[in-house]
Amino acid sequence: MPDTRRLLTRENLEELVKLHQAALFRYARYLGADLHAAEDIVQETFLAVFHAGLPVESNADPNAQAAWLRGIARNHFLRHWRSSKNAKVVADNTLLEQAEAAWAGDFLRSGDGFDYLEALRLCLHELPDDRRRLLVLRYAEKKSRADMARLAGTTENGMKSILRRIRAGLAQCIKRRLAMESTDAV
Amino acid sequence: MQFDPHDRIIHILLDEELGGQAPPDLAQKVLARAFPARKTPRHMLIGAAAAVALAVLGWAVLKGGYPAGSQPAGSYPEPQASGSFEIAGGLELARGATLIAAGPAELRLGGYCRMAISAGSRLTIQGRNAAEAVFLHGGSLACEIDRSSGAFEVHTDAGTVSVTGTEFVVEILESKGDSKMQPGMLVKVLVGTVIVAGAWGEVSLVAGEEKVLPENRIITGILVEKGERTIEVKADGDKAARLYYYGDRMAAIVKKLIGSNRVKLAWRPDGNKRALVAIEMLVPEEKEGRFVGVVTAKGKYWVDVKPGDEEPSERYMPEWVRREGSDGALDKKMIEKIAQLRVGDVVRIDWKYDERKRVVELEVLERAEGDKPVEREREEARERVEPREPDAKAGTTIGVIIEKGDNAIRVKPEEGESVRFMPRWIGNAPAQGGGLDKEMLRKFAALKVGDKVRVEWILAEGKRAVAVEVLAKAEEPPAPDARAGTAVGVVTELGDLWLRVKEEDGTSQRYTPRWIGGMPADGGGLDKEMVRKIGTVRVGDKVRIEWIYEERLRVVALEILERRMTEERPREKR
Repeated sequence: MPDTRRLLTRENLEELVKLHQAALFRYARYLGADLHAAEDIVQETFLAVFHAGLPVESNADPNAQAAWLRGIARNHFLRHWRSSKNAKVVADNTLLEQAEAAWAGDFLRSGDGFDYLEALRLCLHELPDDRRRLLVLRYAEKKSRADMARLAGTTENGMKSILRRIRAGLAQCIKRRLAMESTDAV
Repeated sequence: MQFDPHDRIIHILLDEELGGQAPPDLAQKVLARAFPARKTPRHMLIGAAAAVALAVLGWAVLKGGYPAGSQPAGSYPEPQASGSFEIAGGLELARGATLIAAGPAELRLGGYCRMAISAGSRLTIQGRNAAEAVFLHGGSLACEIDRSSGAFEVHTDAGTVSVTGTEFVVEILESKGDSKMQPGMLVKVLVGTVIVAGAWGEVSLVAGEEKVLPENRIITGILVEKGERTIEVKADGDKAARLYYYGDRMAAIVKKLIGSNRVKLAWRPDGNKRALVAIEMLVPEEKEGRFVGVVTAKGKYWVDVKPGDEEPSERYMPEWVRREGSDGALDKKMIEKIAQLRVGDVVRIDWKYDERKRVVELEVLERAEGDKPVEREREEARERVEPREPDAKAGTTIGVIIEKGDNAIRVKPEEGESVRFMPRWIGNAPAQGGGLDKEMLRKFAALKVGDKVRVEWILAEGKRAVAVEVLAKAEEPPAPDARAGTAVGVVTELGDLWLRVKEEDGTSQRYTPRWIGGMPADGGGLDKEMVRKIGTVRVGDKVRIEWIYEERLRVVALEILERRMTEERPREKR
């Protein structure tokens, strides 16, 4: 049986990075890393693979490869979290395992999460204007919850609840759409 | 913060979809780090530098001035940067741009300012032609400015360094979590003179001088606790209180302070400690009021409430209710209401000022979301184990001694914040023979950090121990065979008064300085010089220690063999 394994050359590494960097970055952000930390974690993950001289299967299943890289990224996230005094998310191995289960089960669904993202875009279009406006204020215009609360005449905690409810509604909508798609596919 | 994975997925995707925070392309960065460019051999660099120098010299001789980079004669040089850096927002290198140095980088401004920027630094280019300036947000710069070519300033949150022809270094000192702490900077002058100015004043430094400025840092916060030689203040924006030491000069001022009030203080670093320089109590102008705010922290007898985003939390205690035949007690109904609160609750508070801010009416307008720890439940469980007097004038605390001073011990219960206990004051003023309970001081002297103790206490200007019982002795390291020796290893943990060193063979031991003299009351204490030396060590440093065994391992000589390669401040307070 031919040995399909290979050590990473410059080209192999570039290929590996380009294939998985976006998913890993998104994953690091999901775990709780801020933008800069997420960039660091992604770089450190690939460099760990490279420096360890680990063989990479040339014909490996990309999903299996992605899961393997996520495992390395989780370790880097934990290291980053432990060294960060201002981390806003509490992390431990159990919690990270739960996070991984939700990521793989809800978002990836044995794929790359593309269908989930598509469903989110469609659900965003379906949102009533007032709710969509709140999301734009928060995510596009980066308004603080306190500022938004003042605009809406509610408290900061009230605004936090409203945003959480909108996100929960979106999650339901996505779930419904994905279920419909699977039924259609059958 | 509660982690809800399903909500977090949507949150991150919305950030990406609506906020434009799409994953960046990191391929080139990863490749550059995996396959770094080969360094040019040193002799070639020297040759190249010499060639450049000759060219510059020739140009200068012909033109009679500085060549201003590659600009044509008459035009003002554009900023030039080299090394490992990126510009925030992908903008061009120009005034207003913020440069982030991933590794060492160099920036040239106006043809006469050259800056070597350390990795991790962040600066924004400011200034104008012949009056170049940068704002240093973090990290450090080594600047070389040509004389008579123009002015140059480095602005920082701590002040401005102005020069006309010199070489100097500016380093921002990280605040280590003191979110509202006045920032500091280290200025080191190599050649010439600089003027450093800020809200704190102005100072001129000459070649060879280096100074941390401002010398005194200012904070405002809540006075959490007063001790014999220390106070604990929770600075605005911080989650935990910090310890500040003071000497005789400040003792009379501190004595007049009343706990739970807001204070403004100045401190300066003294080794690894924070020395109190000045302090004043911030008594509110209004003596009563009403507001709506969010609960940010709470204890059994107090609640911290933050009125708005821009305003700091303030501490509110229940009223003191006078009773016939007794000194009275804190309002029990209000204590019960505080017990029901959760961090994050939105509350309306009616307060009045009576030595400190007192909550007289409390109404919860909105309950906090999520499953914050139900502190009340914990407290009730604790009270089942340690029944306490309801009016908090006395009680029992069981915990482990985490700190021991001359006249006080600090005990950390299994749950909740640590508590400092002092002996009772017996008699009148010191001049008339009054003083701390000597019997209790003797008991304190026999205690060791790590002992598990039960402390019976009463409340009298802080918690005063009236009985102490050792429930379990601290685990002592087994006495080594030798009574003295040498250890070489890496510092893995640090306290104010001790350090832990791990040797190459894996042996890890904790070392404290020798005790010199007799009882604390007789002037005895830990070897001050060694305490000072421990203050200069960082976790990660490689050290050589000479030790002796006297009850425990005592460090008698300490030498730093190798500094840990880091830009972090040396230590955390432990």
